[in-house]
Amino acid sequence: MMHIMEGFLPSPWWQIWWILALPCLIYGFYKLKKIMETNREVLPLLGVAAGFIFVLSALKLPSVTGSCSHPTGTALSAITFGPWITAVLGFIVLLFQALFLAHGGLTTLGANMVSMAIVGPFVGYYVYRGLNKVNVNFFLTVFIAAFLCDLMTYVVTALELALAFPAVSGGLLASFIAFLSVFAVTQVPIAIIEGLVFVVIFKYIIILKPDLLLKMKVLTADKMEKVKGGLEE
Amino acid sequence: MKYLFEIITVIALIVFTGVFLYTDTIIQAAGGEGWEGTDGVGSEMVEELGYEPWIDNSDYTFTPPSGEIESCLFALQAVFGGLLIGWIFGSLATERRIKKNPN
Repeated sequence: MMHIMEGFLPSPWWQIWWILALPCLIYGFYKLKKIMETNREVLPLLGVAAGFIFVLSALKLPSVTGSCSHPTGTALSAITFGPWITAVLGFIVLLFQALFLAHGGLTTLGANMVSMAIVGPFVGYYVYRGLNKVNVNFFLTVFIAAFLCDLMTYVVTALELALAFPAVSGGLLASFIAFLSVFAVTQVPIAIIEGLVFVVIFKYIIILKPDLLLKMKVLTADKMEKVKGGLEE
Repeated sequence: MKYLFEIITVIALIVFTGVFLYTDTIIQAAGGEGWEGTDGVGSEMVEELGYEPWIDNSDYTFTPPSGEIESCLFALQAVFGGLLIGWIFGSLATERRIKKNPN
């Protein structure tokens, strides 16, 4: 779980992460409002993207290190709607978990948003766009983007904790590595599974309603033809 | 291969489960508890430094009184997401079928 538990970030760190998260969230709400006004046909895709964040972030999976962690589910939203709208969706899930599940809390919500709803999706989005530009296979691109989207969330969590609690000997780096070994190593197998799951999800979106991806400029029309052609073999 | 991605994903899930069962036997043999959440492990690392959390969820809402209630709330979260996905994918599939075969 990428949550930093309530009370585990001292001042000034929880305020700093809140200050970083807040503008992203506000801009996300603005972008969301714009999509709802001008582009209502893509709302089903938004619903599915939100649905996957809800489902996947509720699953706690056991991993190789003998502890449990959960996928983030943010990749679909990040790739199709970009990191800003994902920030809003992530905020809703994290708020629910902070208020009712005691997973994360209101003071650490800023830090948890930065890791799961902002930096992770940012990395996923730009990795997708970058690889797409250089014509890497579409499904491979989705896999890599979703994998990194998930993994980066936990790298950032480790960094947030390391910044607040640098080790007495070895300082920031030593404590970053220590937290990474807990968060990131556990996450690698889960991130692989998540990447594969999102490949399958994208396949079905392309089969069911490819226009939605065209409208969000995830793929261009001729690339979509190629991807569809590849699926029909 | 029409179902290539599905097959890869299922194989990965089986390997994942196998690794879990294997790790679990090691942990059980060592007599450990194991399978805590990483956030709990991370928090313990911080507490070992002598840090005390300065605020708790029960200060403004509540912490789930038991594991059962926690699972219930987690399940509700997943149900809500699952409903959204199922409903929308269902509508899209129906829409596609009607378009293909208007009768």
